[in-house]
Amino acid sequence: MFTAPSATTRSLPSPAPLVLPGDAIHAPEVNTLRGHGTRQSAHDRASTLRATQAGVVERINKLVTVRALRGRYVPEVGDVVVGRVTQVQISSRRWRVDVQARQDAALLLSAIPLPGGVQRRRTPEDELNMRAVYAERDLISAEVQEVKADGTMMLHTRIQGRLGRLRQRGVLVAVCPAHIRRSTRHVVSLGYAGMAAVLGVNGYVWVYVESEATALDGGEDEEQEMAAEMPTDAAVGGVTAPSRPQALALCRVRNAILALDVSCFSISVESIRAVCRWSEAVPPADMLQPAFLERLQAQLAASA
Amino acid sequence: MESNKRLSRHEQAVMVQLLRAHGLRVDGRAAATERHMTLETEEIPSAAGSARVRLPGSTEVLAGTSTELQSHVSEGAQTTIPEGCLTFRVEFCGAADRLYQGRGAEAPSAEMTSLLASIYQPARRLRRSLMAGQQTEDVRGQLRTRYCCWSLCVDVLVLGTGGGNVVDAATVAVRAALATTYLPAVEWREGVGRGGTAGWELVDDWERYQPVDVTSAPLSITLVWMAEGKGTADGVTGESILPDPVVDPSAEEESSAAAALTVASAGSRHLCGVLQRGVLSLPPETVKKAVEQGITRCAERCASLDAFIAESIAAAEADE
Repeated sequence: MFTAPSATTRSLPSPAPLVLPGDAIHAPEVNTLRGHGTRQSAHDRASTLRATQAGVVERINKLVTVRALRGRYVPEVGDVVVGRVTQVQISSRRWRVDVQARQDAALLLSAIPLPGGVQRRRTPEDELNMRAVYAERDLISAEVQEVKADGTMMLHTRIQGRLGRLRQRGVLVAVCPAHIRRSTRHVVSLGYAGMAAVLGVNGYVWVYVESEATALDGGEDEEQEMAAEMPTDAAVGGVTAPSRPQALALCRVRNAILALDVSCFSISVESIRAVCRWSEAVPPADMLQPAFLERLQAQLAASA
Repeated sequence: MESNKRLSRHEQAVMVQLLRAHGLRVDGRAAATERHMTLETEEIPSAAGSARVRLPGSTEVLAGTSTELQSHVSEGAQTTIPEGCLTFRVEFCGAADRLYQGRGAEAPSAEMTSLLASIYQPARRLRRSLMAGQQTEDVRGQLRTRYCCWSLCVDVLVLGTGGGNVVDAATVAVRAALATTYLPAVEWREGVGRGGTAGWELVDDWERYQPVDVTSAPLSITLVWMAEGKGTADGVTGESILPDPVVDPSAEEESSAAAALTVASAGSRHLCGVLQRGVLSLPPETVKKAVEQGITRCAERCASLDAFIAESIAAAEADE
């Protein structure tokens, strides 16, 4: 029931560009650009910078920056993110969405596809129906459309069938944003017991049971769309419970993602699948126990 | 302890379906399975005793004790058994959650402080073990008793709430901090020499340090009930509760629970306190069953906590 903290250490590749706050960063070029996370101290030589946060040193030409390993999500245009609606602001025609960034993202009414899939101007009726589209606490997947100069992030959900409300049978897993790499596909089928996931670049991962309709890739017919968009009890109660193998697979994938996050490994389709495969002998509930995590870390370190 | 991890209707529906159809929770546990706690003792060198408890997710509670001597004098025959004093101070760290920034931490702190104080009320054996020294003297035919007691203050710092179940983690941290608190022996010294004052003096001898007796210190178990039935938009879910409670809830489960019961008890299997929260009421049979289940689990937890602390102390001594 009680365990002592595990003292596992990971060996890093020898020229690891990792720094702690205060560590010296060698920058021999003249006129080095001091980027985020670095500063020049008056006591140091001109070719030495000091890190102000823990992370990885990145060098682009003369620009030296330190990218934090832990921290909030820093948006880039085109990122697929998973977010939770925190506020519906009808008067300013936008939703506020929590995406684990420094501030909540904004989703404008003009950035969503209207029910029915028609292209038209937004009317006052649409404003009043905003809560029927996305209500508070709803999970959505969206794309970052624009990052303003002050850091405000604008989202859009215009790709029908791909982005929008997440209403499958699934669970949300929150991980550190640094563990999810940007890739071309973020809505992926895991190829494990009919599980699929939306790997939000912001560190929110939506794991769900792939149904027949969604497996056809965006081919959801409009009628079903409309029915699901209505906030009736039927939309929630009508979903059948997943079968027992599906339920166990859902738990296993969720815990695999958390185990990867705890062990500080990058989370991708391949790594999730590998952890699911290695953990076959372990019940899903034991996957976050120190004993399994230690074995997993040894295995991951060996295969990396 | 309100959490801001509010789930969408679809997530809540899946949670309830898994529980009802398969008796499974989203993290793969069965309804009655508890999580392993990570426990470290003697974390703070400046505190008399301390412990840090972590639950998967990011629940983290740090507890430390500080000691102070209080001396009393009673005239005549003694009537009451002197007891030491135990106070609690709880702080919710602003970094744990946005909810606890600024004045938001006041209400949960007050709630937790009063809960801890009330569940430690029946722990008389613990308070009596805080008695440090007693000295009876005869002053002109009248008995005068001097005694001194330890006054323990337990500081609880909640560093993270992301894994849920902060109450149980806090009670474990408090009990572990108390169990690792050692009190020095105290002796009465008459004034020696000219100008020497009489008073209680600490004996600087490690052999004579005594641990605090924590056999009567309670732990708590939290059980929550999910609602089944209709999901409504404003978070109040359903009309009836699922018959079987979920033990050791995660933050997601806590936020969508319809009713929660925290049962506190020590190894003696006597109830020390109950706290009920939630939007739905509980029928008496359910409460009775849950309290019995909670008391049994608390006793088991106390035993395994004692074993763990004994083991870690033995390991520390072996290192020296």
